[in-house]
Amino acid sequence: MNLLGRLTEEALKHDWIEYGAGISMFLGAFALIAYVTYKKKWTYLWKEWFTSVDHKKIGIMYIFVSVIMLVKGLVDALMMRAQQMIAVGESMGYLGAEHYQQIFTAHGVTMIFFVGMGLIFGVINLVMPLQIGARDVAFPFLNNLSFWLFTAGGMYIFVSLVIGAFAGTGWTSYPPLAGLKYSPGVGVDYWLWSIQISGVGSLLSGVNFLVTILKMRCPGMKLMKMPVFVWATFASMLLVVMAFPILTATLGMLSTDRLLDTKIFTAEFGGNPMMYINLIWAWGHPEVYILVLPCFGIFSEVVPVLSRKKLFGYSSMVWAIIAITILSFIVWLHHFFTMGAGPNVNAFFGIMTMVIAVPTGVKVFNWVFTMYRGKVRFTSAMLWFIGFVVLFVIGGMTGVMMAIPGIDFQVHNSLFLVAHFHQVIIGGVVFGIFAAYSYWFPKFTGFKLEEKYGKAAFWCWLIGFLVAFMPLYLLGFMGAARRMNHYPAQSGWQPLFVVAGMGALLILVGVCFQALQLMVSIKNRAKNRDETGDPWDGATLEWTTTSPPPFYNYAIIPEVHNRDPFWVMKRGGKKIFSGEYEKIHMPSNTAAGFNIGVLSCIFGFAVVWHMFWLVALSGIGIIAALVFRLYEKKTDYYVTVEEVKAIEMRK
Amino acid sequence: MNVADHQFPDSHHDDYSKTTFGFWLYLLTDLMFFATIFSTYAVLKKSTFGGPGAKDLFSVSYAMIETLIMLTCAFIAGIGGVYAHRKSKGGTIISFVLAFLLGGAILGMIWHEFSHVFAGGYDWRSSAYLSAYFTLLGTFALHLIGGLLWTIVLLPPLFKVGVTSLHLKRMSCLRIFWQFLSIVWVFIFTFVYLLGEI
Amino acid sequence: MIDSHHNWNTSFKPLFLGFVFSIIFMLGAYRIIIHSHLKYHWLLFTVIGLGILQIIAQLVFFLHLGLETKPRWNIAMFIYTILLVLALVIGSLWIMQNLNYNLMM
Repeated sequence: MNLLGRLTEEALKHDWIEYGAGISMFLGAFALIAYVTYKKKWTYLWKEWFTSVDHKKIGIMYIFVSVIMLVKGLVDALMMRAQQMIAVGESMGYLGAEHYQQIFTAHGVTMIFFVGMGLIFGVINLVMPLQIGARDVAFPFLNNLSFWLFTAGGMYIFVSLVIGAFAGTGWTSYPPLAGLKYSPGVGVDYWLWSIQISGVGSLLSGVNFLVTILKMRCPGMKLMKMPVFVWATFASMLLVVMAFPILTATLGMLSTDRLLDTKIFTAEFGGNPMMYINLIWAWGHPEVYILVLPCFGIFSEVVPVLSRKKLFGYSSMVWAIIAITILSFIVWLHHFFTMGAGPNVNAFFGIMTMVIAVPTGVKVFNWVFTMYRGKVRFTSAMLWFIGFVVLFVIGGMTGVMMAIPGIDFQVHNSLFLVAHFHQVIIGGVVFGIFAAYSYWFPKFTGFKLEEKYGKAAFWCWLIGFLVAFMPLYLLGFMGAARRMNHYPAQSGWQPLFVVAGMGALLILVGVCFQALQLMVSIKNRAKNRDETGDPWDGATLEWTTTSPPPFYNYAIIPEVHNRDPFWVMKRGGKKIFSGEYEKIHMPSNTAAGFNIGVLSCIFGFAVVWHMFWLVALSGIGIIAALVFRLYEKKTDYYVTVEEVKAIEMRK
Repeated sequence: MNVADHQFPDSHHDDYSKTTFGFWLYLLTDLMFFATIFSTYAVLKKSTFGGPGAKDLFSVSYAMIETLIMLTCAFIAGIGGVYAHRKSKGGTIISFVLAFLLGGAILGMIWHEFSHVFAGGYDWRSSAYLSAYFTLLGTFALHLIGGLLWTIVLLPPLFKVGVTSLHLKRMSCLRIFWQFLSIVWVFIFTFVYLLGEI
Repeated sequence: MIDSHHNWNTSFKPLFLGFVFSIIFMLGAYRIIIHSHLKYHWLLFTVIGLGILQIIAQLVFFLHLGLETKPRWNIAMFIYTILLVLALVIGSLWIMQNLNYNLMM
């Protein structure tokens, strides 16, 4: 048996661009490692962060990793845009077809799984437990494990740059192309394990957050008194727990097709590749709502506070969220109207797709009505919301257009589609995250962000997005398909691609402003300190804590009687905190999550390269790590009353 | 009965209920996982590629015996759960050991059925139908193996220390797991074996 | 279901009841398949119906579903799951059969 499986030195041979990417990746990693070593912070990082089960720290780690993945995803995008600007007629551009395929595949996987999901889980981790008056999530160890599984999955995006190659099948990797016969190499296997491993993390987080919301709300916080962000998280996690198992099973079956030569999605032996497409979108549609619902929740927090006016239509907001949740499970066929189902099937799913726009519209109206006659403060968080309204409404409308099968037949898999989904994801998810970032940054760091860079970033993103994607709608109508690395000169498309490329560069400028903002804000943090813990006159419980909150969040568990309990308290209403300090039961740090993450990463790598001895070894290691965790006695400790008093006095 | 659950993290809800609810939720995700594989089985049921189908390969009586054993396993696990709630260490351990043996027996029977298919010259590569069958039963078998391993891990500390609130919590989860598998098996018995005959 | 506040947790009786009911439903379904000469669709409904009854018996008597005090999250989550399982299974079967028709399969 070959110790290295199918890994040979061929795996290390790449073209010049890939070598360049690999080298810059190594340089980046090396710089980071060197910096941490120079500052002698490894023990600190291990003790205070990597092994932490504190939801706030885990949230920050999710965001940190997601931002790194965002840089990779943006580089992919810029490379594609550059290719599209020049690869016309006689010029084949600088990227060969195989390389281009890997780039758009990696771009999609990175952005959806490792930027979108990561940022969402980051923000939920940070904010949700505080908003329900809890001290942590229901299962803090699982929370840590989920983060490391997420990171382990993300590693393959980088590893595949250097060893082997990534999938060239598109981010949804349809068989038969993704099957053993037509993609016998390692690319699709990397794709599979990166998603399977991080998918387990997502599923565990779904269960974790659901139990947290249902079982750990503070006294008085009935469901209809929860902040809308918590409702949105609840709905999103309801989707996670039902959608991710579909993904795991479907990818599992693609894995057995590839590893064990099963014939489930093959073109021969009776297999049915269309079943894969059916199942992957049964997951895929809920997935996009998983991403966007928490962002709707973010806006429901930001808009009332920055309008100094309570949210318009709380109940209808909640019902809209519930409606979207249920509906998102019965629209999935709209991703494959053209696959050949009959008119009645297409009509049913088309109508359901249009219906889902209604509760979404209700929410947009409610936010706008909240602003109406409010004392609106146009800080960057509010600007991101307004940008969201502009972009998401347009993107939503193009979605409703494509919900009509007749129209979809014309624009399916064209750049019109590409423009639509970027519009709703960037307008909805990305702008929502940026709003959350501007809004909650002071709470978790203790100092405010420098506003003017934030505003500059916003304008670059908004205008840049429009310049980058509006041409794509036109191109789609003109017949330009997605995933093309070259097009004929007589199409007349090049000017539009050039404009689009300029838009992408403008977005890059916006990202640079955001990076600059962070650096300057850190430099000026003493000046911009958040002394009160409540920089925006917030309505919900997280603003009652210091910035940053103590590790146990609340010395005394709050008791609420209304929605927006902090506003009520500040305006002379019922007190939230009463009683004496008691000792606080807290969970201990653990290395188990990190260990299982590392072992999982090795496991996946071993499967990809058919190093079956290593598969067995790492598999046993994972089980062993879990058993050690089960047998661990020191899983929690108490914070004494004196310690609590000391921390509270320091405020 | 002293079920002194940790008040962690001072949420006013006991640890036992949080964990068992979380585990139940996890099992519901497992149900959806099985449903996906079931859907695939249903879609590929006729795709035998000229080879054998359910009717040719399987014996309903054999599956009946498996169903009886699985039911007994779930029943005995339930007995074990009651003993655990009554803090009876001996009763708990004996029940879960019996459940272990019964689970192992079904694993053996599934393996025997697989061998029967292999003996006919077919395996999971022969057709889409057989791929789906092996995937479904194989997934069930993996779950059984999980239950068996979990039992081996949980019983020694229980033997040493007796039924504390921690062990009550864990044995309850294991008990629920066996009972969940019994329910999944009813789906398999009905849709693969019973309906495979017609 | 696993609510520590109801006394089915410490009683053997519900387990015996569940066992007996399950046996009855299981043997019934077996007999119908082996011995009866019902038409295909009747067979289908009866056998599936008995399967569902058996599952309900096990859910109630083994897993104590529906017995918890309010708020009844266990059964709520279960119903949510079942609804979505049905959406997936029925939806997939409908879609895939529809596709097969157009492929003339």
